[in-house]
Amino acid sequence: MASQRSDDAQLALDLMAQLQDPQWALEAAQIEEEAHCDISAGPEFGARLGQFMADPLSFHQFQRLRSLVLREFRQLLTDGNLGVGTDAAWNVGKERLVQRLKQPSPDIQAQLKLVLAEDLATTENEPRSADALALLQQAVYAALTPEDWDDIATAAANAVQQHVKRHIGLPQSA
Amino acid sequence: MVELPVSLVRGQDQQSVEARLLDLEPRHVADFQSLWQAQLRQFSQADKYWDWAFKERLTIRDVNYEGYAVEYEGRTQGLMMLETQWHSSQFYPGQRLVYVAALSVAPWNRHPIQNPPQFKTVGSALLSFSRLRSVELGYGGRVGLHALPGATGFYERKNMMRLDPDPDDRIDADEEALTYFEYPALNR
Repeated sequence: MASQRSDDAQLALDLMAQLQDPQWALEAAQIEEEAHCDISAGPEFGARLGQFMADPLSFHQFQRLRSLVLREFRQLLTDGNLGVGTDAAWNVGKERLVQRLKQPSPDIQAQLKLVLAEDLATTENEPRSADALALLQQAVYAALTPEDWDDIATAAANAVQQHVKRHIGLPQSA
Repeated sequence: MVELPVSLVRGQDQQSVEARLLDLEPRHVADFQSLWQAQLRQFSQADKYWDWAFKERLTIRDVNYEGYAVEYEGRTQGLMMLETQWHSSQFYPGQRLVYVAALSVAPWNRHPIQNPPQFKTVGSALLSFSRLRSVELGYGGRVGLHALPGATGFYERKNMMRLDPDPDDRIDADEEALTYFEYPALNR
């Protein structure tokens, strides 16, 4: 640990020296010349600025939770091997999940909080545990209602049906 | 309180000049509003409506936000806001990083607006300083950011790892689909 601190102190000194080094600046200028473009970075919040201003931490955590849940839902569909029905199932499921996450029931809220806490506690030395993964999957299943799952399945089935009809040249239904 | 000399390159004669990197102050925001914004609008720059006054208040209110400016001869040459607690690597799960929440250089320092720019390397210096902050915070130099659409070429040339936006991640129509770039940890 002490050795790492010492290495970090040296790295910081090196970076500080680099910032003041005219030779480094000339090399950096060359890179900017070659890129010949703007260098601006950073997302703006657009219509979501109000939510962000009201509570930046909650806003950020909600974004993080939403991303986690959607990625896991996508993984569940991929694992389900739905083939050409995957995209249709994803589009319906994503829309429903985003709706459900905006106003979850108290039970679902409790599950989602656990998922977020597990994710925030994940470190580079301790990747997501099997328990945390199971928790995440349970949250995805629970967040969607039985009707949502029916609609997801129907969307996937319709997409497969349309694909088959196209493939063998049958007339398309509306 | 930060006050660090940084080397810039004057576009006209390629001579290096010594500027200062400082904590973000109201006078820098005032420069943005009075000196930058009209030109940013004139040249339809993507950051023309950025609210640096709001960002400055955020850096005062929340400890996880830090604001910095590069100043030369009393004029603001570049601005940056960092987020230091809530972001982690998109490539190495669990590894925390410094996130560049906003980075902008004065219009007269931008190739697409003025050629040659008045001062080069303002953005490079700010980006390099973000790595310095990452090292100081124990994140090893890891830095993440979302490049604005016209800026991806620069970050590619800085050898940052690139993660293209996943259309599936875009939920709301007002969400921007920006390309993500990340610097890995520096070799200790």
